[in-house]
Amino acid sequence: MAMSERGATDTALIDRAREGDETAFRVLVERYESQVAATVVGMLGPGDEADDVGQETFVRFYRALAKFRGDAALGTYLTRIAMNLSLNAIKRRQKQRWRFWSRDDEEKAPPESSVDGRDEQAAEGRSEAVHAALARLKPDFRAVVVLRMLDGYSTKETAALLKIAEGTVLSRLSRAMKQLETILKNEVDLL
Amino acid sequence: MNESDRIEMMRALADEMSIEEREAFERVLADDPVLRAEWASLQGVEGLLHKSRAESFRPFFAVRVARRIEGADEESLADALVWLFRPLAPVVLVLAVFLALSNWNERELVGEEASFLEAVFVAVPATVEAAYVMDM
Repeated sequence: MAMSERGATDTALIDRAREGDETAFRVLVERYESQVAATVVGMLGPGDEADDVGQETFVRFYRALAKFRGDAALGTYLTRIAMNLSLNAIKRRQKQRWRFWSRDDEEKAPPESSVDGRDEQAAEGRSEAVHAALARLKPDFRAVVVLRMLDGYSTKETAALLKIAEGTVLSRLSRAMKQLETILKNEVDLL
Repeated sequence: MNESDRIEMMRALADEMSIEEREAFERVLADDPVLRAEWASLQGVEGLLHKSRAESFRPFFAVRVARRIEGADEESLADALVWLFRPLAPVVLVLAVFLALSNWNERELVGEEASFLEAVFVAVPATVEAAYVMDM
């Protein structure tokens, strides 16, 4: 891939993608994969479902290329799609759980962290435990934690993305962090 | 610790306090060991969240997206065809019923002993004898 594509601005790449330049669109996908992954994996946990929602996020963006006017930064635009799709996926999960009367991943206790393994395994175990703890939060609370703590949006931006008041963001965040702290401290001994 | 203290902590954690607010918060923290322990714990959770942040999906994600878009294009072509031909469906149905009734009325062409379906579809048995009869 040429250096010019890597260094191109989002606007230039979007213009080229609109004209059917697949390489330009691919550069955009690679550029924003990390940001979308943080949102989607934070909301759904790692796995096939998250990968699927991640793909769908970019497919929706591709279909909307002609209409995308760049009012919002591309990252924010993609985060909004990713968050909406993730919340829809959680709703689908809940419906399925109700239908089949089975326990969902969200209810699973977080795995024990590996304290005596190698660094990589320990990091993997820790990450798994954190995602399992996140999955136990209510979706509304989880969304705030993901946007605020993982994606790094400010309170104001998080409020705008979720269409709630800034006070609600702070209140949900405070409760969610307390709940996470309890889980990570008492159940998996990570704190 | 009440809800308001926690919210202040969230603002401090997000670095969204003014200098005066931050100084006041630090003074409260210095005087309150319970709050200090809570603050340390909260920073610990924040650190864990940062370390657990997913950086990517599975390998070749961009390729999977491209394939999916190709699939989506095919799907939209199929949708377009359905959209194009749907208005014709009632006409085709009426025509099919008309032909079926017409065939039924002329069922002697396939023989009186033919079943309903054979008569409606004018399904002449493919036998040597039938071919001979048709040739005559």
